[in-house]
Amino acid sequence: MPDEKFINDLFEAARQEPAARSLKSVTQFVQATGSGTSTSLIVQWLKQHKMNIFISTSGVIVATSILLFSKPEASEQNTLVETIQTPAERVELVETTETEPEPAEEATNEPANDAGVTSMEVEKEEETIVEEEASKEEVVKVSPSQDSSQAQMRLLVSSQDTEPASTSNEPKRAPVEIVSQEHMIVLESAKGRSSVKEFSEYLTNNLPQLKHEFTSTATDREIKKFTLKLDNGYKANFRMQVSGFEQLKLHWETSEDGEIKNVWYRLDDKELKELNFSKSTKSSVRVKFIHKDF
Amino acid sequence: MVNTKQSEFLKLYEPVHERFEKYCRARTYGGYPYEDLMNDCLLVAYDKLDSIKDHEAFLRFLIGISRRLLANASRKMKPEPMAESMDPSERDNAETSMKVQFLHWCLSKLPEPQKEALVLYEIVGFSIKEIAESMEVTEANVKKRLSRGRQKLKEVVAEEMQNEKGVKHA
Repeated sequence: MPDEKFINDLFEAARQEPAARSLKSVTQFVQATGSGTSTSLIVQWLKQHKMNIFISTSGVIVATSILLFSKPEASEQNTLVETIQTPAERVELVETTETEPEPAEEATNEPANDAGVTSMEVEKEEETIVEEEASKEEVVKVSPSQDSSQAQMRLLVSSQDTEPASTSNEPKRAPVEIVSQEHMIVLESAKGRSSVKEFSEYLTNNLPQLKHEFTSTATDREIKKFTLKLDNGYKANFRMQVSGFEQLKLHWETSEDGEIKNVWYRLDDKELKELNFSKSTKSSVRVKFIHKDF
Repeated sequence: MVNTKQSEFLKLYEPVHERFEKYCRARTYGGYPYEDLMNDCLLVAYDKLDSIKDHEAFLRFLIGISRRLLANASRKMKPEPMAESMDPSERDNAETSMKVQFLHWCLSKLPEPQKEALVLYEIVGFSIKEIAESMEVTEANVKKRLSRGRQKLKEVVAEEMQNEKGVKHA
């Protein structure tokens, strides 16, 4: 039988041993959950929708497969699952179960060929989802899960609070507008608010670090393809083909010394993608969904 | 608003971090991963931050939540014996680390009330009065649990050491 001293030594060792988990990791975890949405809730939701997610020991979410988007048309609903590896500092989750149909007025006022493309082109483009040229990550199309119906997951991964974006019901805005202090600009080519050229000029003047190249439709109201590069050795050449869209929200974060850290964008309030700039030729693309009111 | 709440929460948490972390590790050995227990507990505590009246008793508040979470988890989870709850290579002092691991393993063999009392008294550093309040029992009861727990711990340690010798001789 061990003596008292032996037992005391064991307890003493337990008292003296430094914490295995740092205070910093707990702080990060608290900050990550500060939005009020618990990680366990998110994990539960993701599991219900047959998605995989891992949470590191520090409480930071590292997702591996995630819902990219659900097409609004119920009959043609597709779900794109893309591999991502993104440490999330903050997460907000909103589940929506109804789609937002295109307003009839808009459809009447703005036929597809107003944007300078033929109906055939439009149809073809609508079937195109996203093509990641630079990314080597696997992109898998899967059938929608049984209970997801038209649910969309919107996951905001950010370390900063943002102001809600304006909606289409708001008064007419300047062609290019800074929506929040978190470096977000909005291009809305619809309703004659701005052109791709204006958007491009704005980027040139205000974000010279970010080299860009846009291919637009004949009316210059829709971006068809774009490429983004950083001017500091980092690159994330990104070219996409997507159905003509009316709104592009481009966000970026800068470090304290003003260097761009992250860039992400969102098209027509449907999907948000983040470009992860790296010095390697292989760039990963981070997919993010954002709060409805973002 | 969120940042204010976070700051307030972290201000309360920081001084008790080490003791809370040690409590979680000691209480979860071989079962509920201690990081998960910490995370789950922090989530609950964060949500209920406004309800805390006595900020001095924040650690007790966390431990109370942890205990409930552990009780719930024990109904759902089957403990995995001898699961590694930490990586000794990550520690500065391997010998201390092994001792602590051994202690956690032996504590995991004790009945819950005795284990809880011992961990709170010997590792977290609660007084008998604090343990009594936390576990909602009398101080005499705490003393009894500590005494019996310590005796039981000696038996488990002796048994484990005997097993270890047996393995070495074999």
